[in-house]
Amino acid sequence: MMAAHHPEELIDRAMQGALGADERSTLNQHLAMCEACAGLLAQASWIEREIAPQPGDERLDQRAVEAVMARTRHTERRRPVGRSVVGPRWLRVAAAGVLLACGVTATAAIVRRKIAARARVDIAELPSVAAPATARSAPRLVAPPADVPAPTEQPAAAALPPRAPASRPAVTAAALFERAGELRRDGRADAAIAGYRRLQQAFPRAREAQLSFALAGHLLLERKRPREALAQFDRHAKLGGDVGEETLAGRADALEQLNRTGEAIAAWQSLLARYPGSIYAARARVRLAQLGERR
Amino acid sequence: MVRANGGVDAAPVAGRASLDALAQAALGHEPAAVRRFLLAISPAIRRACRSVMGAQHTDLEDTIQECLIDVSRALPSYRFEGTLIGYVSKIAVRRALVSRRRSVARVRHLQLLEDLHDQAPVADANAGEIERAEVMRDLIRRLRPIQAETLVLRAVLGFSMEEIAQLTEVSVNTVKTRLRLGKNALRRLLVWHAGKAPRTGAR
Repeated sequence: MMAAHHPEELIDRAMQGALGADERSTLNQHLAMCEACAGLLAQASWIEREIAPQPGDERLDQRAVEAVMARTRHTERRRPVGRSVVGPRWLRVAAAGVLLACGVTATAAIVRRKIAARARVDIAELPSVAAPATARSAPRLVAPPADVPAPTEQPAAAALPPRAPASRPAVTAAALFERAGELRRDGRADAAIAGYRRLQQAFPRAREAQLSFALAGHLLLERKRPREALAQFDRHAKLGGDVGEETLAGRADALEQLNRTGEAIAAWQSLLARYPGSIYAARARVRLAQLGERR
Repeated sequence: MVRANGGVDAAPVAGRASLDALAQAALGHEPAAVRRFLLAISPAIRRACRSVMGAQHTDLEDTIQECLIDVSRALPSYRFEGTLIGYVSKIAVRRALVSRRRSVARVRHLQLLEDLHDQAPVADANAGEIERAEVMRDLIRRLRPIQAETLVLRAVLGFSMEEIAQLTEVSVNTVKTRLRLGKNALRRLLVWHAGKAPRTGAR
């Protein structure tokens, strides 16, 4: 039977511990037939704890505010005169920045799904990586950051030992990819980036490596390293990666961060042309409008 | 049903009057004043976002920033009637609901629901509570936006009917109707969810 009335006053008093016996009985009767009130009441203490102040909240607030303010300063430097008709320019630029992070989660997840069906290796048991010969000559793009777990030293080409014994689990592109994904999910972005690069060097032709360019690109964007991110996105595009819209959006963001406005406009237009129904389409239109004004 | 005092105590550094003063100052677009104002309202925004999205949602920080932007945009039209924290909370709840819907849409678009389920914090000692809270948030997200907003303001953030009426510029009776309809819809959704397979509920 549907509850036509929800006794809000009784619920309020129950929360305050001020219910009389009769009222409690009335409320209990209602709760017995109303899953909504019962569910919300049952969740009350948990949700209250969850939304209560937590350690690190001040830093979170500070970070959020500074992110908005930083974009204010950036915009003011770029365009000291003129005022937007739809609001202060710093706000619109900040909005764009806020949207920037959307790509990483989505791209990461799609890649995980694509790889999920593949054979997996117990990451904890992984031996050190011996890069195949095809990868050894590839130039190292960037030295791994300091917080990267020290990769096993790779011997010089001439001194490479024979391949790992058969009893040891094989190092596969999937395993490297999975390991980098774990690092990313643990919030160790730099280590994850290094992991993806290691995969790209070791297994340049693997499908995982192809996808890793897009993932690493988004992580680099998050780390405010647009030049390296752009290189990753470009590699991904050249390889014909199949997460195209995420890559195009990331590429456009990277170009914007590099102040390559004309190319950024072209990238957003390309995204719209190729994926007019994309979830990034609305953002592309906003960015195009703002970039158009900026020029 | 969380009685959080509407978040009024969420900005201890700024009482109601001083918060209004900070808002007035921020209207001048002077960076230091804007920063002070945004810092003062951040706790209320954070609470509202957490109530809708959960404390561990990956888009939480981005959403908080979007809320700050929304509030800044809306501030010139604020009439300085009622509580500014209420006004801010309403905007934040609205944005957080949109953000939560958007993240779900993005996931669905990419057909990645299972992957994100795998990332749920099930190893936490409070996994059961977290899961139930997530289910409740997910179902609230499915309500009509105005009903979801009213329900969160009332049942989670603890605003009174009168405060919500003022914030949303409708009568108290309308608030009561929205709340009743929202709860009725939520009840139906809970029944529906209870009959579903275990994996399909969250988010």
